[in-house]
Amino acid sequence: MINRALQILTSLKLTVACLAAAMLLVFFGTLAQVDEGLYAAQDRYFKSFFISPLKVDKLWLLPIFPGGYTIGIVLLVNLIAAHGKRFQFTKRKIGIFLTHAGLILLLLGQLLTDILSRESALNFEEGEAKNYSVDFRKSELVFIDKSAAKTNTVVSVPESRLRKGAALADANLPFQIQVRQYWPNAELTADPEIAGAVSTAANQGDAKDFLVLPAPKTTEMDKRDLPCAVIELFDGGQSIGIWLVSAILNPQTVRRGEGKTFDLALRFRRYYEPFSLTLLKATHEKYKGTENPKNFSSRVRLKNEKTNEDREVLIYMNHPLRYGGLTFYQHQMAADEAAVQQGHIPNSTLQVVRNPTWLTPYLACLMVGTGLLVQFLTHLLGFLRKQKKKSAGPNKNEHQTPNAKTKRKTA
Amino acid sequence: MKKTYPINSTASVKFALPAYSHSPLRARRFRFADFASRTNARIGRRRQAVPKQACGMSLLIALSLLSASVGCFQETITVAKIPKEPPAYVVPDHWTPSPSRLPMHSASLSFAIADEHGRAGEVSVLPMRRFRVEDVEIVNIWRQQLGLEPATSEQAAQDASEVKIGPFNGKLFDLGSPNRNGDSGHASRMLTAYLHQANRTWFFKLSGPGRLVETEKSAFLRFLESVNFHKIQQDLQSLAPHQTASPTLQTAAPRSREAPQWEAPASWQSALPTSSMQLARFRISHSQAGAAEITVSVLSGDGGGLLPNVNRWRRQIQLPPIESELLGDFTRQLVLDGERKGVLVDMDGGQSRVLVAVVSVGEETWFYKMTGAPDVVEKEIAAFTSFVRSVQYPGDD
Repeated sequence: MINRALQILTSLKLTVACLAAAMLLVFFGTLAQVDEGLYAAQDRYFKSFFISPLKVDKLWLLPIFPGGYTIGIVLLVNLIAAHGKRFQFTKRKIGIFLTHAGLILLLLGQLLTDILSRESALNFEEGEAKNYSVDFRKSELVFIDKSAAKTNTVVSVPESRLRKGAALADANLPFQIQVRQYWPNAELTADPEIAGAVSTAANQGDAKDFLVLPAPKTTEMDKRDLPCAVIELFDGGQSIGIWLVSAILNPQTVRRGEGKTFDLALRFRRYYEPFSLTLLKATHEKYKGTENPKNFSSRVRLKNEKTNEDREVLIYMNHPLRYGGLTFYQHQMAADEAAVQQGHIPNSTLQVVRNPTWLTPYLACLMVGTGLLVQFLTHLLGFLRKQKKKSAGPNKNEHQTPNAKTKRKTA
Repeated sequence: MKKTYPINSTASVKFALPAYSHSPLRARRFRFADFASRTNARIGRRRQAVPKQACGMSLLIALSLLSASVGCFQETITVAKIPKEPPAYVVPDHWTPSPSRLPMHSASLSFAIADEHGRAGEVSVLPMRRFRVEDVEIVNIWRQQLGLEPATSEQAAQDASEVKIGPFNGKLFDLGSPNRNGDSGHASRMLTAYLHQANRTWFFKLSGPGRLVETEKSAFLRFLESVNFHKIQQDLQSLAPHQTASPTLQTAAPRSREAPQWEAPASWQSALPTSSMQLARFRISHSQAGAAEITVSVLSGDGGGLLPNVNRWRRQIQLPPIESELLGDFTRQLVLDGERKGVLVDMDGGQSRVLVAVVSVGEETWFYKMTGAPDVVEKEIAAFTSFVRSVQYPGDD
């Protein structure tokens, strides 16, 4: 049984099947982006274990095809197992060894990238300093304690934990939370006659009289969902009220007992950094007579009080700033004449990427390339040597027995 | 039957050269052949003994990868201590906020200063939109206030020194005499700084008797360095509704303005504006024809001009931009009540249609925009124009 499992696991047929499945997955996953949008299709096809056509109450049923995680992991295990089985440490196989090690690194690196990397945006106006970026898709429920003189304490509950009926209690949370309702995308309205508007049980906060207009999750790249939730807060097991929170609302005040107050908000998720960037100058140049961008650049001041750094950096297209494990790319800009004429303060948006495994694809490609080169050169040199021997005179091997020839071939 | 894996020892034999030479130094040198031979022998022994371990190892890798992948879906509650955002500015305790004495400028800050000798001075902050004049002209305005002769460009350039204003470098002028005490009651000395930004110029001024200005100079420079432009702008905007109309704050959050009077059809569903530029937003949905959205936005001046806006709206409905000569093909005049006139822009992109009424009101431009399914827009044109005509603008009788 185990031997049979090992045989399947190390089978080259499994490799081919995985590669074929990966090709199909990429093809259909790419097509699906037209209808489902980039992120939804990525989640469904590539960041999943199985793909299913049916969805019941947030659970995909009847898996019909392996998802990206399954294919990647099986391929990786197959590669490692097959290599373990057939591995032979000889000079002639150094190339193959390197190539396979490169492939393993590539697969592992991609999995780690998926787990560890994140993308966010930092938008600031000229003269504005920011020490955080905002996630492109995720949101968070936060309680902010502003009572300290120099710092604010922010307790963040990820949006993924806000599910209808969820009870959240954590030593860091100032309250216990009962999620009564949750909508991944919704607008608010004050008009009760609007069709589809849902009234809530909210009895506290600025938004208690608003109604919720649930909306389908957006599939467009330039839009994002605006989540909304109705939460009941408990202080020491005692309910202190029900709040309606939404990503389009300003922070609301929650009072605990007689004294301490907290800001409560459902907002786009923020990633704070121990340094700040101040936008000094946003340059937005277009090709004359067109709306086509010629040059976007942001001159920023990087300030890190911990390291006493205070320097200016110019970020422009294809010249990102790499600092603190993050890469800041020039992303968007609203600093042209039209924006200024409309009274906007010139502003710039940087895409902030954290990818601790960004080097693995480069290293993996280098290893695969070197491996293939070594393998090719090994064969070439062997061939040339053979040719040289042939041209030098009658081959002594010709007098050897056929059995000896076979042995050398095996070697 | 237990399956064993044959070891191909040929390779190790092939590279097995005489192991060590006579020299002790060479004996320690790494030889690939020896290493390969030893490694192969080790691998061979393991392979014969433990095929099950290899299987187990592979499964272990699979499981750990699976658990790592699944583990990443469970996000945790986190807590972070974040430094507070710097204040809009830092001023000494003896600078007391006072109502601005600057004529026609509401969006300004002012501080009164008094010393123990009874001398009084003032610090003011004034942003002005689209204020683009030569430096010498700015300097001469101040020189005139001090009763000084106008300066030439060269002299103004010589008098200017660089000063840190927030994160930026601005220009500083020290005008007047430090020895004059301003017995006449007027300020006899000014420390003035200004900073040009894309759409506004900021003026900072410390004025008063010479000795007071001299005493307060270092505090003024520290104040300049502490300016947080983002915050100070917000502070000024929050001041605006309590003061008279200000050119600086024409684009201040439209939601804070007094809501105009209008008559919207009952079938239009009111919705929350999605940006600070919007004054109102409505939704229309026809069960079969589709849906449309109406927004009301107010921008200062001409709102960037008609042609750039038309081309922006065309891009939104996947239409190519047009030149100014073709503007007439898509626009017609909209007659409103009284003397007011507007322009109606109508563009159909096939999938969606845009109908925009552009109305100039004083120094502002109001945009009424209906976007949606062409059939819905067609049905709502009459209601839309009636709505635009029904608007009572602030200041209208």
